[in-house]
Amino acid sequence: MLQETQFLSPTLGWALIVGLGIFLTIIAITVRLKLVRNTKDYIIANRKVGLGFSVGAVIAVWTWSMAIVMSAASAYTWGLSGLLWFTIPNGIAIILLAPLALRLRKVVPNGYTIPDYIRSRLSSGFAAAIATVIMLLALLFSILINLKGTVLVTSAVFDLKPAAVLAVVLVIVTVYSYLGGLWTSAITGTINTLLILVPLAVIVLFALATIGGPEWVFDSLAKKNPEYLSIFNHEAAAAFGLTLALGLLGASVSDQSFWQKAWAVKPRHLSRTFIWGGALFYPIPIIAGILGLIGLGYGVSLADIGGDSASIGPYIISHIGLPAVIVALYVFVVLNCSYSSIDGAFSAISSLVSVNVLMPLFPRLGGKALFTLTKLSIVLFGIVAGIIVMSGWDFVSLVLLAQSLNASILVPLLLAITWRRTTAAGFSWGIILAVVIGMTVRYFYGELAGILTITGVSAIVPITLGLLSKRHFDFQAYARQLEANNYVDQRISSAS
Amino acid sequence: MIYAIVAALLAVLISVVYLYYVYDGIQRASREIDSTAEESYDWASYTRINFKVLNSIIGSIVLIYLLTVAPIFWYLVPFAGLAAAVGVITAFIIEQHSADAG
Repeated sequence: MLQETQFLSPTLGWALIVGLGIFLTIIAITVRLKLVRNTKDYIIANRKVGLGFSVGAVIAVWTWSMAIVMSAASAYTWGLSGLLWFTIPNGIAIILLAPLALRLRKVVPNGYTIPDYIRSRLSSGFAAAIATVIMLLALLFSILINLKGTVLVTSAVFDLKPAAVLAVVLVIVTVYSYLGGLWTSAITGTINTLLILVPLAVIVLFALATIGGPEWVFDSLAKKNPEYLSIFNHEAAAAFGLTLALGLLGASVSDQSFWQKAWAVKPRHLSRTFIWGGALFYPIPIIAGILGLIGLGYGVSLADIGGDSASIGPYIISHIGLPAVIVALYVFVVLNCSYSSIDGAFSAISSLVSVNVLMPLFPRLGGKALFTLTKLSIVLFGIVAGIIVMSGWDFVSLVLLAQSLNASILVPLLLAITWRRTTAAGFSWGIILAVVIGMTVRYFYGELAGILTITGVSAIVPITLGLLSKRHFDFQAYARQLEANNYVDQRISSAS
Repeated sequence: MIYAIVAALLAVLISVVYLYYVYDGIQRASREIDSTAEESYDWASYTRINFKVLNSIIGSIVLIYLLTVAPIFWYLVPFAGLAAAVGVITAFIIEQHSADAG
């Protein structure tokens, strides 16, 4: 039997939010003192990140707080087909970065950001500006979406006021991100990964034990609808699987957090970083998804959880009679997801702002000023995120907008990395037309049609313009040229 | 309940080992930070992406499929999460060995 809603003490909620923040800030200060001496350490960790920290950080950055609640929501809505379609593309999106990162780092061993690569590869400031805007927006949206997950869980368990949670979480993560840059992000992210994986496993086993084992959930699902226990339900694929898969691929490829790590990790560990990161990420959504299946087993209705399927995980955790410590541990897991993803986004923002905004706009900026302004960009984005969230922007629209922007850059970026005939016009117009046409189609014909149009247009335009162009880009000559004269690397190194 | 208790004990053990390797990783990074030696770019030896990449994808599909077969397999999933934490520890160990070898 499910229990009545009984909120845990708000003091415990605040203790978790602030306590985790203080713990991570202490680590950030330690990392700052030990490992960060200059702008290059701050932005790219002097390209000395090893396999352990890179794998740990990739898992943490990709485990958004919404991933924990959405995997349960997918299982709750579609049964095991939903869980499959939520989980598998998530890991593939990271694993696919391995060959791309290898390819890119071979060509540009000392790169910093994707827009910087686009600027030099396509000889176009306009194309670089488009890439910068889209990537900054994608990072901003990822911060907002993670905040949404945090609010959802802390409201459901502690009945905390959303605005207060948002403000406190933003201040905490901004402070510790400000302190150490990429090193902080990688190390705190690795610790976050531990604090996600291990407690989540224990929580779900305690949840299964509390409800009397998985046997009755299994039987209940079989009685209610055998399709819930099938992974071959085509409706799940059509309803959200394909849209999600394309959105996730776009999200990983357009996320500077990953590219920053691709350029920061030691070369010999590069491919393993993403292959292991994707592989070791897999258990997280599957474990969290079990909570959605328990909800289905109990026959929890959407009305019971306020009409939002994303609330099923926190609802089950707080209604099956688990000890308070286990419920608090669940919130702790979600907070870790949120902090690590926001921190990763802040770190990526600092690299984009430094390399693609400050350096082109202020070519004579001194090393110290560049370092200070780079760090202040984190504070600025923290404030912007706070203002947007406080304004009450609809999060569903936000997620859909983010997904569209991410999908629009996916194919043009893949082509710019791999295809010799990609042109600046193809890259830029591919993205612009994909967004304009695709979002119009989405408005009239729905999600799947919208994202397919965005992906289609963003592929057709650069391929057509590339085929019409007679120019064949020489990647080897470009790599040699960059090796001889990499302006950005020289400038950041001299700023050191 | 036995599964939950075993997992909790394993969780403590794994956490201690994991945090030790994080600490050790910071110490090693601190020593390396002042080293001027650059990593060589022998890309030919790093570009080995083969069919093994598919293992984790197939493994995850199998894991979800097992949930459809019998309820006993539901206990397997949380232990896969603990195994993933051990995977990160393994990444630290590999890194340590490759640093010693290099």
